Amino acid sequence: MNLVELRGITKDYRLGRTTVTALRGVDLVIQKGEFTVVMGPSGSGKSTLLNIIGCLDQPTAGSYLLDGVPVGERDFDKLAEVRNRKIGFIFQLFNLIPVLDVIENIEFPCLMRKGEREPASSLRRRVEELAGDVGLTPFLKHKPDELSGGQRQRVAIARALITRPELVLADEPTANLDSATSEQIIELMLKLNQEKGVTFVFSTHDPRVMHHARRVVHIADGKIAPQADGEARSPGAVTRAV
Amino acid sequence: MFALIRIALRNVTRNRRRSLITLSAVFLALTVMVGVRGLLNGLQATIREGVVYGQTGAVQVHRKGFLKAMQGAPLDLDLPADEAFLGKIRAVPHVTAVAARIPFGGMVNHGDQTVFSLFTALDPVAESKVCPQRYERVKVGRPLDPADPTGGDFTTPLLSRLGVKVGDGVAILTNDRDGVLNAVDMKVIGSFPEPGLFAADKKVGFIPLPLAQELLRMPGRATEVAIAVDPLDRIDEVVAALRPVVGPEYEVSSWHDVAGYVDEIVKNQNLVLNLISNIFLFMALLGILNTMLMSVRERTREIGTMMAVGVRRRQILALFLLEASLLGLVGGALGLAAGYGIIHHYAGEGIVMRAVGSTTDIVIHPFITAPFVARTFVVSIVGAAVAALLPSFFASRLRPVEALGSVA
Repeated sequence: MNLVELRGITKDYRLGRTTVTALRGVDLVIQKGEFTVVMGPSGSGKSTLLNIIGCLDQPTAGSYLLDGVPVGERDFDKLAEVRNRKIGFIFQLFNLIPVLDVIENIEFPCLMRKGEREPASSLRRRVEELAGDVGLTPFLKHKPDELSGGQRQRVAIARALITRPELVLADEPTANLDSATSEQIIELMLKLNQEKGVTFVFSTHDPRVMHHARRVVHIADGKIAPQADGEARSPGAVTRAV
Repeated sequence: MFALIRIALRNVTRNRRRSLITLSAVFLALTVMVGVRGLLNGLQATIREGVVYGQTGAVQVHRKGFLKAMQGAPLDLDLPADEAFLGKIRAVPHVTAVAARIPFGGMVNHGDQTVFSLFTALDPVAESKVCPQRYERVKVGRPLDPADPTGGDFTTPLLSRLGVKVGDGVAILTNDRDGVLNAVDMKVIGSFPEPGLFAADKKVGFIPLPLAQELLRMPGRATEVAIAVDPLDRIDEVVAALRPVVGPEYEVSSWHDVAGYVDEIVKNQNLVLNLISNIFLFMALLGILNTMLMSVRERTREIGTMMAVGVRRRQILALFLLEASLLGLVGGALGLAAGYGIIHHYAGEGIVMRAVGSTTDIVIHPFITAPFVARTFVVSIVGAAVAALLPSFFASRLRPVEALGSVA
């Protein structure tokens, strides 16, 4: 079942009098449960692609269906709600809220939710479970500046998953980690993908992490490279070129 | 909302030094605002009391047109000073005392010295109930005394000019109501440094009403009735009740009408105070504006992260407004407490002051009212939020993708 369906996505940026085209007619379908790596060198457009998939930015042209629903033409708050309910984010620089401890950082997206909220006790139980899943149980009361890079990224992963999103977007999540920690983080995301069925889209330009991917989408100069699209890395992985 | 309050609270303590500087500015502004307001409240109360209990009384009754012609102290616009008339006034609720008077101009002579002066003829007993401070001003000798029907009190500058001291005799000369010159001999039984607050003419004398009635050939008459009212905030009620009692040929005026300059002075003082307070408050709010601008700039990526996880624009706006309001709340509360403490310290003993050109001291008992404290507290919180409106708005209008890309 299609979770992300991009058709003819173009993204232009205006830099003074110059227009820079970051994406040039990208077509991409990601199905539920996939673990996809978007590969490409710096400036290839992978972050722009992830921003558009994550509803952080809107395309200049093209259409985007998220879980079968068109995303374009929504106002800021509607997009915020989509991000809150359907998408989790993992950032290269972890992006935790420095004044909140581990528990508070993880539960934060749920507390900001519009409308009916989960009872505090049930939320706290889930937060602790999730923190346990990512190996943070001993650090629940720690603030981000009291954690290592790997631990911070684990907090970010737990925060991304607490809203039970359909899709988790990870923009170069290992770029600021040493290789051993990077391996652990990727293993963790793979495990969560397999056990919880969460769809992951993972951007990187680090070839060392490629061997973990079930599907690799190569992007260069704002286009998906034809030779790589649909590249299946393991038997049974559902990939499809469009 | 609770999560936002928690984050706001922690953010305020995040950059302690900056928050402390901002808090100090709010604290100082509020301390000054409360301190100066308290001092001015005390000063204005002293002025009001000095005028009401030392000069005018709370309410006055005159023949219609008297106040307009008051500069000439017209004797033909007179009224009865008998018990029938005064008793009617005394019977009005909240009227506690009634005193008949005659203000007039004349000359006072001693030996070869004659000085033009202003006189007020007073009922020695009734006046002490309407304007007790008038008698308290007598520093040498004694105030008017019903047992001494020819004894008068005069200002020190007048006595100096005449070369007279308490115990000496003087003659008062003036035209009666028909324009015929008349004179009486009297004795100086007391002297006072100044006739009252804001009195332009320092050469003033108080003489017993019966003696003045004889001098002015106005037996049983006066030109002014001064009335004491208790409590003082019932003045308007008393004025309204008195009008039908005395009839249409008389005018009833509150002390505000008689001594309008006091309200003018109070208004001008308040204007200056508000200006000073607003300057201090403005400086403090500029501090908050600066702090919040810096905070938004430093936390751009954090704002982007919040937006990414689904925080809405109005929540971002609320977060920064809350942080500013917290600074206003804490700084305001501390400033109010300090200001109140200072006022409380001086409220009992009072502050002794002397106006420029005056020879007498006044004691000011500063005080502050609960509505002012509440209003100032609200202003400090709301003002802080208003000062933070622009930076908070900037924060809420950031585009998530750009905010996330910030290196700040």
